[in-house]
Amino acid sequence: MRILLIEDNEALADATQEYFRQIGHPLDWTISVEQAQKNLSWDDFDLLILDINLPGRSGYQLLQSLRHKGNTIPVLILTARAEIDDRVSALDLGADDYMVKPVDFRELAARCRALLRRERGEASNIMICGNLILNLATHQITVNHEPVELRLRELQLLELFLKNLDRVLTKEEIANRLYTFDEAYTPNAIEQTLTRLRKKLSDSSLRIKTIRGLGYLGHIHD
Amino acid sequence: MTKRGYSLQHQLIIRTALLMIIVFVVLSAGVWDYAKRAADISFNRLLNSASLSIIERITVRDAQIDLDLPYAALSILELAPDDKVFYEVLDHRGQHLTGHQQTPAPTGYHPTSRPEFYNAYYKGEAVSWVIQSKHLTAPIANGWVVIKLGQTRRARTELADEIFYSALATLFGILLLTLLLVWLGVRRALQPLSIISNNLHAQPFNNRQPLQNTPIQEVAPLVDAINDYQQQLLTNLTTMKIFIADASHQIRSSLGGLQGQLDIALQTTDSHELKSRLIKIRHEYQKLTRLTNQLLAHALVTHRSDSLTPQKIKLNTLVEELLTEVVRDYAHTDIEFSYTAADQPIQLPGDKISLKEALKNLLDNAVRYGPDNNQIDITLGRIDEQTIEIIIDDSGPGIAPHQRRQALQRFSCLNPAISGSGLGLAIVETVIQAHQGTLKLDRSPHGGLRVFIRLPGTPL
Repeated sequence: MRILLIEDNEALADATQEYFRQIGHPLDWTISVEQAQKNLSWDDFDLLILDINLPGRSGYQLLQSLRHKGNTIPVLILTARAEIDDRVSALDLGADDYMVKPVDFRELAARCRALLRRERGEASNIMICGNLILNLATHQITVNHEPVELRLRELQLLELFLKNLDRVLTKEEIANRLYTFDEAYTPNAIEQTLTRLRKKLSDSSLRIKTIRGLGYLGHIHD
Repeated sequence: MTKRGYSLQHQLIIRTALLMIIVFVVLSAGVWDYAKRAADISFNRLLNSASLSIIERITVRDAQIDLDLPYAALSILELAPDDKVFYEVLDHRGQHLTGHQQTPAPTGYHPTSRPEFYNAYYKGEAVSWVIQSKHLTAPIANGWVVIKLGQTRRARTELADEIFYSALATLFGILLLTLLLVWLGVRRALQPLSIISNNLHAQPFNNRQPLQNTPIQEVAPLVDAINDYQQQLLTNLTTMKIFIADASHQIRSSLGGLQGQLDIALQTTDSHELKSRLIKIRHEYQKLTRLTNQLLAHALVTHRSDSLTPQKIKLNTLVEELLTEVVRDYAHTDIEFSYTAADQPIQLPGDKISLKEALKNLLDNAVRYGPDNNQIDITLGRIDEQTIEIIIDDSGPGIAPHQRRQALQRFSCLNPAISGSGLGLAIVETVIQAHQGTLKLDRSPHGGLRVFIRLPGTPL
């Protein structure tokens, strides 16, 4: 996987590059939008980490022109501005995620992995979520390379959470996806399936949080 | 939208002058008309009495019309010595009888014993005429005898001019006097303004002396307003000074700690110890980051509460979004979250960004100060038609009743073991106050802290 970092603060860029090299994801670094456009034109990248305040053209302009050309490469925005207005406009312009400086590198790497996971999950049948690997074609699941046996409902539930990471799923949404109209189900059944799933995947990077009164949220902690 | 500066005094005087000039022109036209009519009336009376004297002397004698011209009558007209007099008498057939030839007559004249006045040129001069007739009933002369008597207009023009110019002079005097009075009045009325501005200019900016009260009723509210405003500015300035002093103390202390740790780390040769120093540096750095973020957030909410017009906030959506973010951020912990909301969604007027910041601070506090197996509950409810309530409970250590007031103050530190930025609750209070709400701290059912927020809001 190839990541392009567009950042004009040299110290930050240098440290980011070093951190990603250490965790085994070397990244390319350019200092301006103009340079980034050259790199993008002759190389394929899987992810862009984009600063907003850049000398010359701004990160927003690059994002806008990429999306205008129909380029769907995942983009993570880095900015020093913490206003949520900024976030709304960044996401409106087609950014996939957003972080405010100063960022924790572990958090940055986790967000990058989440974006790449989402991208790859759509493209292939293998979902790699931290130490949990799900093969959508064969329905095989491993945690730390150890196979885990799941029942059909548990598998469906797992797939639902992995495809909706970091989003709240209400009990109704889960029931609608897991059961057809004719199948009778009790809200308790979902709770029981979830309890078994949590138990079987207790060593995995997947956390499924219950928010009483709101729903459930799946998150990969790696 | 600032207009170009203008002088109230000039404006008032110019407007009054324009008004007065219009009045002056209208009145002059009236006076001119009056003067002409007055002159005409007096001179026409003279003309008429002369023509009457002449017409009385017309008789029929010896089968012919006889006129004995009374020179006394014409001498009345000599009161105007510069004017010429013309007359003509026509007999019952309309033939010239005596006097000047070819004098003008008014168009469509029907003989009548009543005098008729008209103006016409005769021999190149403007002449005022009177025409009058007498009916003769003698056998040889049965019909109307007509007399026309004219006088040039010099004397009456002179009289009209005299009336007109003397009236005009009076009017002009009144005009000047009015302008003078307006100028004096405006100056007098605006004088307190210049006194106030002189006083303000003379004061140094940070002077704490309010302006002196004025006995002038119209100016007193202005002085009061200026004094209130000054008082508010001074209070804000003091608050700001204290805040800056506190903030710089906090930042400097934190930077000092970092610097010290870095210096020691540089001297360390043992790699194990270096690592533990670095961990301390990182910890210190994270504290500084949080402090900086909170300082900026505080500045942000203060600024926004001063300057923004409220928009409608869907509170349920906002809280659900926020809760999703917080749960995601703490998904790796054992903290339990719950959310309870009334069936009917709630809306309230306000600033979405600062309200979210405030609630985020409360949730962050609950996580930060609570135990690993913390239970955090958010409840949205309605008190009455106009008031809504947000309750955030945790199962942390809570805040003792006597410390609750102190907890809301900036940079107050209740528990030295856990160092926060000291700004979290201050930010929350600023935001809630800007939304006309109230904030109350209490004990939660789990034994931790309960934060009550009441805000003006309605069902969606």
